[in-house]
Amino acid sequence: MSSQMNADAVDQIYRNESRQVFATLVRLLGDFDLAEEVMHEAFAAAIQKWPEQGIPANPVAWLVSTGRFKAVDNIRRRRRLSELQPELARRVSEIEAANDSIAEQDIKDDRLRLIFTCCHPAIDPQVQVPLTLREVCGLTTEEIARAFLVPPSTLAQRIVRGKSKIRNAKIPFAIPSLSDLPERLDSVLSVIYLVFNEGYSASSGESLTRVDLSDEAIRLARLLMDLLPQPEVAGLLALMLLHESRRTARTDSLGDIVLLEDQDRSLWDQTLIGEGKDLIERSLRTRRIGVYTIQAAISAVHADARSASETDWAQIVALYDVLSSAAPSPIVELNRAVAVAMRDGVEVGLAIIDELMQRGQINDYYLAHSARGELLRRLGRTDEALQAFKRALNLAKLQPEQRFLRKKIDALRANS
Amino acid sequence: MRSPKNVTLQLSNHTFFPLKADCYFENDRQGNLKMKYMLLIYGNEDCWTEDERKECMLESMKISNELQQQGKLISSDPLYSITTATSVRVREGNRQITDGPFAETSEQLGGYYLIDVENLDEAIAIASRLPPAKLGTVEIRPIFPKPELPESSTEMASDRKASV
Repeated sequence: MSSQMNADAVDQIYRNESRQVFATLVRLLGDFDLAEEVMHEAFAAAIQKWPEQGIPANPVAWLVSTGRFKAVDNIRRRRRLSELQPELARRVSEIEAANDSIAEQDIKDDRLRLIFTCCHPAIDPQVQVPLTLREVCGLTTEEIARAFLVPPSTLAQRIVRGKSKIRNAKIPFAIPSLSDLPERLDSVLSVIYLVFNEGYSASSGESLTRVDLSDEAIRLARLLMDLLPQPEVAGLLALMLLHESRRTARTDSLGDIVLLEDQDRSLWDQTLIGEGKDLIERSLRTRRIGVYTIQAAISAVHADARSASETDWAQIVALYDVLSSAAPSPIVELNRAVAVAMRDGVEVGLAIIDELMQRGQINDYYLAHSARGELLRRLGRTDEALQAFKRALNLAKLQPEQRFLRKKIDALRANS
Repeated sequence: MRSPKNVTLQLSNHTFFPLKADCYFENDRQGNLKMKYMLLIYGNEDCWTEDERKECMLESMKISNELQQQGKLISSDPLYSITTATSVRVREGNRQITDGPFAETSEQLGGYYLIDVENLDEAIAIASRLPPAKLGTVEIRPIFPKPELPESSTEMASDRKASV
């Protein structure tokens, strides 16, 4: 085999399998830093040895096994064998002896264990997200820092904090018991969704790096789906695919927001929509549906409509009712109110929003004022609409949102 | 008079390694080496009725007995109310003694459990069974393994122990 071919092969195996090798080494060695170090040493050994010996039949097992020996060397180097406690010496020989018996399922489960460990609810959510991207997805600290617009040193600190919490509080490297699974899975799903949203609701300036985050979230959800095909995993993956299908349609050439009803629906990615709908059906069939599946189903109803006016608003209101009872929130009620306005008429929807405002739970939410402004505009109550859009503008944080609201205000002023 | 600490060290079944990699590795792979956690019970002392307090105490004792039988309990005790607390501070050699707890907060430390279990998940499972978790908060803190003392100081420690 030529050395170039070999380097390419190792490169490809590194890209596809290195996180898997890492996950198994974490289980065997119980230490993130040591696992990372010897994983790289194992790949360095592969570049040297594979040209002579050929690529092994099971490269992952070869790499894990090599990494394991490297770890033993590493531990011995730190402490001469004569100084080792008998217990530790016994452990070293156990590591050496157990080398050839790694079942494929164990290796697969190691990746799942790693996900659950990094997303453990005892870890700060601010830490769970970068820790997962670093350890499970293999992104570099610099890549993650750039994507989240955080200084690399801050991000590195968070990752160190996460790893020491795992080590010192002894967060187990394990798949949770069946009784804990729903709670623990929630925590994993919300990490994935946070990563996706960070990439999805980005401003144009950083769009390139941030699109990568949405891709990464989708890749992570696909991996999770492969390892643990639970209904809500399917629901979250579907929700992200359906959002992703509209990415090119949701902003114009200037990076300004285009509302769902004004989007050019021919730009929607039908392959992603098809995959998303299949996943929703799969999840619905289990009859154990949760909030991600319901939100995905709402998104799918929009995807089915050839235009905004052809949307099945009754179905959307019904799904928001289900969502509202599964996870009550004023934001869900706001969305439901807009759907009601489309189904039953603007006044009916407006009355619901006004009632929500009176309860005082959504008054600081810019989209509430923006939605209210839009309904008032449609009723021809221009002055009140103007007031609502102005309040929304005061609350909006991102530039494209502000530009969108300014356009609305200017258009109203021009008409009045 | 710090000898009780050293006694704990000698009784401990932890084998502590100064290298963190070795330490974790040993703990994680060795079935009989466990982790110690302190469960600190915080709650508002005033939000319990006398009946609730009694019921809580009985339920807690039941859980304690069960943990004891499983070899998971090192010790557990309720504390008297913060009205009995005394705080001591030594500043520049001067001792200040004040009435009351270290900090005035809405939730006060009311008791503790010192447990010896496999990992954080097991500690969480136990913490969520404790009756005060429903009204207050159970804070789980892993016990920091004390470093191995050099030979001479170990001798000193046992000397001190002997003198107690």
